[in-house]
Amino acid sequence: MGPKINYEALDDEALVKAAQGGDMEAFEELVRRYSNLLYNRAMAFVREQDAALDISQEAWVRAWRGLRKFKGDCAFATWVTRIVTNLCIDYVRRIQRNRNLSIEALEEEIGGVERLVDPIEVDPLEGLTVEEQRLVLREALGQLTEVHRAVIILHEFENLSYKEIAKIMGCSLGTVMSRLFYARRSLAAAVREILRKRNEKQNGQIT
Amino acid sequence: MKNRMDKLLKIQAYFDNELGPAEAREIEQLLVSETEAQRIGDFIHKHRETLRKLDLEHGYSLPIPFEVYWAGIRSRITQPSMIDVISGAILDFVERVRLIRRTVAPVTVIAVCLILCILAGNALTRYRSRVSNTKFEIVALVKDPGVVTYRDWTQGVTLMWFPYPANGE
Repeated sequence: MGPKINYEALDDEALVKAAQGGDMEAFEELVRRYSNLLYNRAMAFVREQDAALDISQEAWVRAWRGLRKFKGDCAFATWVTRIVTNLCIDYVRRIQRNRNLSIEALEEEIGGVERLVDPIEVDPLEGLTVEEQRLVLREALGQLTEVHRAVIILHEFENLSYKEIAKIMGCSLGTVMSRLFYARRSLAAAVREILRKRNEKQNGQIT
Repeated sequence: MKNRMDKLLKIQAYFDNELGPAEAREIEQLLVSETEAQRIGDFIHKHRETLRKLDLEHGYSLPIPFEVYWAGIRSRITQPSMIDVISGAILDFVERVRLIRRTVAPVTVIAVCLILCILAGNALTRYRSRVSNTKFEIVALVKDPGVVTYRDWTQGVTLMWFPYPANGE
């Protein structure tokens, strides 16, 4: 029996190589390193603890099965994050299919929404601490529709171009543009609403 | 620009670095001259900055101990469910078909080409030997059986027989 391998000391590349050879402990170390990353990505999309757990675990199972296809063209973390993102997009699509399109959503898809465009408040978060801003924005992101949240995540967190988002989400470039625009507006509106309620609550406590 | 929405989306695309140079110049002019365009531009710019600055994606940690999380993954890898088995088998089959297509298809094409070459070669050889073995030929016209042509290839002789008087005259 050979000496016990210290997996924690190995870098990703070495762990991936070992895992590709069937070493389950090396794969476990990779999971340990990036489980929070995947869970956070899934949470950002689905906002439900159980669903996020399930999706992130499924992503790891798929990563194990497809590990031989990973050639190291990008970082392992990037590769595995892409897997969980694809699963999240599938989840969003399933939800979309099960839901009837509202008139508003339909207008958004076809672009006949000019009359709905009202003035935008530039920075409703001004004056808050960074931690407060983070809390408010997380809550606001949670209030968006799955599609709007997905487009924001893909564009702002994953840094994907309109074209790449269109390909992943299976829609046109124009749809991506209008979805992103409305996602940003909805997020700003949600932030405003959260702050308004907070202020009301604070004022109520004072009086 | 066609309408207001089109303009808004173009401004957004400008701040997302999605426009070509010509369109970007157009929006830059708009940003100088129009207050609304400036306002939208500020909004999108701040929105992007805030989201990136706050790093919203990294705030959650696994709600269950890692060991439990890993055990769930491990069991799905080592003891796959029926769906996993079926989908795995389908994926395997597809992979095998792909492999077969990748390796067998070129071999088949080469084999077919070789067979065609051999057949063509055989036919050509047979034709050549037939031509070269022909020493003479006698041609009799169906229309006028009285006319007969004799050709001897080796001697270079052609003889024609005509009945006299011709048939039917």
